[in-house]
Amino acid sequence: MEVLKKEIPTIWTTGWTDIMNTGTWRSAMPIYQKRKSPCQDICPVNGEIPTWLQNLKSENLEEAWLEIVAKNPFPAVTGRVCHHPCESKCNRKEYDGEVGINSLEQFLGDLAIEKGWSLPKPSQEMEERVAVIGGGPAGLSCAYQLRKAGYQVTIFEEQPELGGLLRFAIPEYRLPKAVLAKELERLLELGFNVELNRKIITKEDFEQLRREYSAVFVAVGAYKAKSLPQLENTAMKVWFCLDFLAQVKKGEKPDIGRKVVVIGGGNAAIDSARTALRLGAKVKVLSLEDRADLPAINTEVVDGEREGIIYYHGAMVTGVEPIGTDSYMLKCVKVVFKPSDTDRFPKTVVLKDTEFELQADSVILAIGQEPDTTPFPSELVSAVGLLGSGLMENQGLFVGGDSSSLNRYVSAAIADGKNQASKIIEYMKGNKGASEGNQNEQVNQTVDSEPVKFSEVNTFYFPIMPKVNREIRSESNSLSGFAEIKAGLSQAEAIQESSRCFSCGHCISCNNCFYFCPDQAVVKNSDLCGEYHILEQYCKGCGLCVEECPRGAVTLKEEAR
Amino acid sequence: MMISYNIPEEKVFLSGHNACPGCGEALALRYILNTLGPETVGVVPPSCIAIISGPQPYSSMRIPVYQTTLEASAASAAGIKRALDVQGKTQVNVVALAGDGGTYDIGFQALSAAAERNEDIIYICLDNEGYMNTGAQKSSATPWLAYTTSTPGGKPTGKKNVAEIMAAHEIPYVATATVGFPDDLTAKIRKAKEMKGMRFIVVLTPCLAGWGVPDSQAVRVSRLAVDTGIFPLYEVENGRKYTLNWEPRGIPVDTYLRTQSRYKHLTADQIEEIQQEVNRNMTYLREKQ
Repeated sequence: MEVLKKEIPTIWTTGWTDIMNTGTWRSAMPIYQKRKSPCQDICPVNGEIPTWLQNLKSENLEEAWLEIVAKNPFPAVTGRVCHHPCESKCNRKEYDGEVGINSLEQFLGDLAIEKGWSLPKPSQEMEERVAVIGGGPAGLSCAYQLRKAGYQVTIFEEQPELGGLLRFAIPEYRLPKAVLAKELERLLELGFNVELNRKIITKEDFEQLRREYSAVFVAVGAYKAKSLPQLENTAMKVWFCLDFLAQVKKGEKPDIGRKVVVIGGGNAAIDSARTALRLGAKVKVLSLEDRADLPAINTEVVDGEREGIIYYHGAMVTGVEPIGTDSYMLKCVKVVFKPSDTDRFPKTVVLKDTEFELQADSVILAIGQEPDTTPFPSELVSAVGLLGSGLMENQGLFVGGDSSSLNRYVSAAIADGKNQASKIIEYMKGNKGASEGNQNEQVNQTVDSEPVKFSEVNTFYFPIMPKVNREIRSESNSLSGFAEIKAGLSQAEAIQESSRCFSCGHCISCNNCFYFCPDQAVVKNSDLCGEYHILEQYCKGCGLCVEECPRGAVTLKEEAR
Repeated sequence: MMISYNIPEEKVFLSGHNACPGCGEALALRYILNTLGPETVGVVPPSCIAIISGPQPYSSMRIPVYQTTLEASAASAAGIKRALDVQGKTQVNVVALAGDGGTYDIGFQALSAAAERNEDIIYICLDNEGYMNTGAQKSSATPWLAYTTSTPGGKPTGKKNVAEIMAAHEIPYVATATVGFPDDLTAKIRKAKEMKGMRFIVVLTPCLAGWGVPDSQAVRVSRLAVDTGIFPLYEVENGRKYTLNWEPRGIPVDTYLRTQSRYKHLTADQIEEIQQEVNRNMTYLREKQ
């Protein structure tokens, strides 16, 4: 009988398990993905918020600031006046309070002014000339982006100074003139032709410009006041909010009497009301919208209330009657009014038996403004009296800012200017037959996906840490003048606050994915600091790295075999 | 500020091992072996660790490993250490890596005896609260009411407190640790490595299959065990000096129990009883500090 010769395995180790291909067990593979944070997703200028917050946290202050000014040349301004929707969408809001992004933007903006940092110079000079009509936030933002790309830009401004509403409307206590002046000065260092006191009045003027320039950007704003028929035919003093605010900003003291009623619910209404308070008046604000639907920035409404404004939300004026010689009684009634994005004239329903009266020496009207469209081609004017975006782009004519939009926030105007600048560049490149296309916007684009949700943040890694707020000067002080109300953060406070950022969807090389892999299948790239990759040979697809990523920057992707 | 880790590692534990995807024990082995470094001899009794370190003739541990019997880890480790000392290789660490079955139950007499003699070894128990390797039977480390295949109605008795038993031997160092706190775990390994005499560390390592936990959750479950106070992180020096290393965040035990299907049959009253027991244990532990 033949004995089968069996090979007996050695009792000694003859090799290592790293020759084993445990990756074949896997049904899903983790992938590193730069994802949108909710703050960036809602930011009008698409600001790289998590990136500059990380730079700020690591005290790379100038880098942080450069990241902001890539998209917005006025961080010291927007750090004060932006309606900061980023904060209301911040994932940390659900945890221990949103990150104070707005105050951090102000900190970096102010620091840049203090240190004298410069905006990036154009990397090349182009021949094409672009005319920008209107030196407000939209026009300046567009001019900045075009100049950055090397184009020759002429800015036409009808006022003796640049700035638009930033200079002539937003009150000193929110935005000091000196701050605006510094940011404008820095912008102008990039080299623009600026024609002040130059209003484009007639269609001929405008056509002349179109012939002279490769492209024209119109951002003339909306300065034509809407009136209220109920207040016509009265001797009562009725101020148009922008005129009133401009006068006060110039240092004048308009005679508004002791009792003032402001009509409107937007930022201009609240700005007017708080300005009137500072002129010594008792102020009431009447708005069609309910409290929840007010277009004004919520903190402004709340701060105004704290300063003594009395609000009448969901109400309108029906008529006016004189009392004596200098005072009047406004007849009012409660209404239901739902603002709508699609309908410019939504219905107002009067509620029965809700009449009331308010005594006033004068009224400030802040019920909206329209652009003056006289000099522009009729094809450019939409049915609702705005300049229509996209109507004449193929002829090199672009529009933006308040004159073409009802989304009337400073940062929305800056965003519009920036986006239109990209279109203008694309248009000019197209004219030249260049095939490179518009790449400047696409480079840093995050993967197109839903923004990171709070449930994807691993909060274990973030001990509770309350928000650092800007200090508000006490009411008694703030009402006595127009000095700025909110004090900026100190550097220590700013760095502390920036460290609260979850950095949603943006890897900050925290090494969690690396340390929590039981198979050591996550490796750090030694050449590319801050990046990792997965060894497909070993990864079993358990998803621990996904679970332990504090910020949703690793996701699991099913693999079909 | 954010919690983040910076753990020095020397690669002793290798990829390509046979642990289940997401295994808490494999993760613990990574931290332990990569912290102890290459001048180490391992002693492994039958356990999941034996599976992970194999399969014969391959090894996932780039150090000499002796697979001993289930009863004898501490005795084998002690013998190897003494032999190394005789050869003058006193700097070599000898570490026993045993499961809870090989520690709490079958290897206990050898362990207690080695502790009594104050043998110069590191004994690490990777505690996954049952005989998970053989199909999830109960051990004396299985907690009260937990389902295992041998306690289908839930375990009627409680978990043996092995850290306290070892502390009662008044050995130089006893510590508890878990994979959800890798900085704490590796700090304890480093500390033990610097000491002489008997050192004992029990490491809670969630078993995904045995506990009924999804593949990605070992670390989260392990952290919840600590933050609920079910498995507090502490150390005892010379049986006397107690230090609580992490103040539990006071998360209700229910949150921990709900992550595992071995507890899915629990009633609200039973959960409350577990909560009371955890509260009492935390009070005792704080008093000892």
